[in-house]
Amino acid sequence: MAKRNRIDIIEDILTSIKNKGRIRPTHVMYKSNLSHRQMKSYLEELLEKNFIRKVEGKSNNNYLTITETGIKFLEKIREMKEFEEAFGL
Amino acid sequence: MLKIVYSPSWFYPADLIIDIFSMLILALIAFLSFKYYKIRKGNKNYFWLSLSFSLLAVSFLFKLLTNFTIYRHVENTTTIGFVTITIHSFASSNLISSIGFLGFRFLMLLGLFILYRIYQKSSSPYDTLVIVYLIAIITYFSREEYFVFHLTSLIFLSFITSIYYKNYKKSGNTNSQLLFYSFTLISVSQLAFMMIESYLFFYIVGEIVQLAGYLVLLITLVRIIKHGKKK
Repeated sequence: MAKRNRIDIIEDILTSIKNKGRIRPTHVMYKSNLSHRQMKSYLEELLEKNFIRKVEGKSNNNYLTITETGIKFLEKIREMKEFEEAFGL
Repeated sequence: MLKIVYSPSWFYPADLIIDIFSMLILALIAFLSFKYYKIRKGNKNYFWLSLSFSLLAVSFLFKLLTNFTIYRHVENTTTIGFVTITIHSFASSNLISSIGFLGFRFLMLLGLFILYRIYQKSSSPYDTLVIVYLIAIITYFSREEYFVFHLTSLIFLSFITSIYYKNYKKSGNTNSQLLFYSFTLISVSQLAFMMIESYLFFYIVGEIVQLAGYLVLLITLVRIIKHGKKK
């Protein structure tokens, strides 16, 4: 299996959040197959870019949801990967 | 003397429309490649792809501006006694035509060479300089021998098409298949353009095949863009 690059990891994170609707950060870590340190750094970046946001659930648990900007970026990544495959880049 | 092959007058507006359409498709690919280059900062291939398609789009702009200048009719109406005479003449300038056609041919060949080079690992930067020099020479001499330009384009396009065929066979992806078809059609159009000095009819064939090629390219792009929104 080929090594994932930064964009692949961001795609995995955004996809897992989008598929679940809202998800706990630890579940993102398992679903995206990342270490705690890696996940923290990626989530900080995605929050900063407004691709995801934190929402508070029952018993003060933090959840993550994807924003419209995040959905648009995810679409761009998928479009780009399809383009890459078509042109053999 | 610069040789310029004119489109038959009845086909005149159609060939301009086909070239505008082709230019827009090329510009769209250049724009998309640049957009993806900004996302995938480390991938230089996107930069080169964007540059090659930009050059191809600009080459069509040169062709369009030149053709537009050549085809522009100037009507001079003179009345002598009871008779009114309307004279149609070509408002063409040899200088504009020369610069326009040389620009079109040079940028087209350079764009195709860069596109080809993306898929071939460069052995030395000197090789690139030699090829660019040869492209300049070919462009200059194609003023006299029109088919030399289309033959060179055909050679580059054949190499690129074979790369896209291998990519399609490897990936089995429908978009790769469409890309291969579109480049095959664009290559065939060059074959038709090579023969226009013998039969002007081939100009129309070439333009129509070129249109079909760019239409398939447009379908490919629409499918790629739709894919992002599908999941």
